[in-house]
Amino acid sequence: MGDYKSITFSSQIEEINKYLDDFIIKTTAISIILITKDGQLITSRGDVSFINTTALAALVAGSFAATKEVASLLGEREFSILLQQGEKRHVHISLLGSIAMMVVVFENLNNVGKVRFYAKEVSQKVTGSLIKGGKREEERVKLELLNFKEYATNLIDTIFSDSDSALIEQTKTETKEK
Amino acid sequence: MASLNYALREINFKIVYYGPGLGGKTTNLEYIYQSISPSYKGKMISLMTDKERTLFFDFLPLELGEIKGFTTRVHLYTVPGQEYYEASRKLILKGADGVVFIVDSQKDRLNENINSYKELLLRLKEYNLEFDTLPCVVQYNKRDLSDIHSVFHLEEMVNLHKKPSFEAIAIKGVGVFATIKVICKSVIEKFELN
Repeated sequence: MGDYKSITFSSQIEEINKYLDDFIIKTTAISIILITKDGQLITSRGDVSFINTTALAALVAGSFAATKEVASLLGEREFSILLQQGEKRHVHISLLGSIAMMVVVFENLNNVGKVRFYAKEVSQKVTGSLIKGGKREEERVKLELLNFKEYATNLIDTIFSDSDSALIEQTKTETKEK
Repeated sequence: MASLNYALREINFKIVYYGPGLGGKTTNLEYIYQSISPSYKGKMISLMTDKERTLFFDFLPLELGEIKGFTTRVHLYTVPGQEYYEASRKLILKGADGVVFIVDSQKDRLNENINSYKELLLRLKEYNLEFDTLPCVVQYNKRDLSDIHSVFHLEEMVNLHKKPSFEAIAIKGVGVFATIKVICKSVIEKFELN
C-alpha cells in the first residue's frame, strides 16, 4: 500500500468524484462520503443535505477504530466492512486500504448486494487516486501560508477574548453577590 | 498532520485533550462549547456511559470560518481517561496536530498524572510523533481544591518536557481559554504545506 499525504488536490477529487457519481448511478445509493481514517472529510457526492458530514466523519472513524479492536480480540487484523441497518436508511462503511473510509447511505435494503459489489470495485479506483496525489502548482487558489497564519492567530484571539471578558464579568458579579 | 483539501478549500486541525480519568478534559470542552459564539462552533458529540464518564471520546469542531479562501476548522477531541481504555486513547491520538495534557492537581492523583503522561509519550512514539516538537500545553486543573500539589511540584513531576502550562479551574472556565488559545496558535504556527 502506498502512502497518502494529508493534502488533497483538486485533480484527485475531480477524478474521485467521477468514480463516486458512477457508483451512485449503479447502486441508487442516496449519498457517498469519503473520509480519512482519522475522521476528516475528503469528498462527498449525492444528497448530503441531511447529514452533518463533519460529525459523521469523526463518528465513523471512531466506530471503525473501535471495531478494529474487536477484530484483534477475535484474532483478525481488522474488519473491512461495517453494515448498519436502520428502519429506512442503512449505512455501508468500507475500508480503503489503510488510508480512508467510504460511507454509503442507501434506502433500499434489497440493494445491499449491489452496494457491496460496487463498493469493492470503486474503492480500488479511489485508493489509486488518493495515493497518486496531485500537484500544488495546478491549483487555481493558492494558499499564502504567512497571511493565513497571521489571520488565523488573530481570529483565535478574537474568538476567545470575547469569552474571557464574559467570564471576568461573571466572576465580578459572583463576587458582588457574595 | 493538518489536512488540507484544495478541492473543498478546507483546512482541518486536530487537537486532543489527554490526561487521567476525571481530570477535567470533558469539562474543558463543555465550557468552550457553552461560552463561544454559536457562529464559531459545530455540533458537540459526547459518547458517555450512563454515569457520564467518557466512553469513547468527545468531539467539538471549532469553525473558524473562511480564512484566505479556505474554510478552517479545529477539531477538538478528548480521550477517555480510565486506564482500561488505553486502546481508545491510542486511536484518537492518530493524526493529532497538538495535545493538551490535563493534570488533576489533587495530591492523591499524582501517580495517575505521571502514568498518563508516560503513556502519552509512548503512544506518540508509536505514531512517530516527536513530543519535543509537537505543540502541547499542560493545564493544571482543579486549583480551587484544598488538597493539591503546588504548581512548582507538578512542573517537576509531570511536565518533564517543560511545555507551556496554565493553572485552571475548568468547571468555572478559569484557564480554559488561555489553554486553548495557546495550543491553537502553536498548531497553526507549525502548519506547513509539505
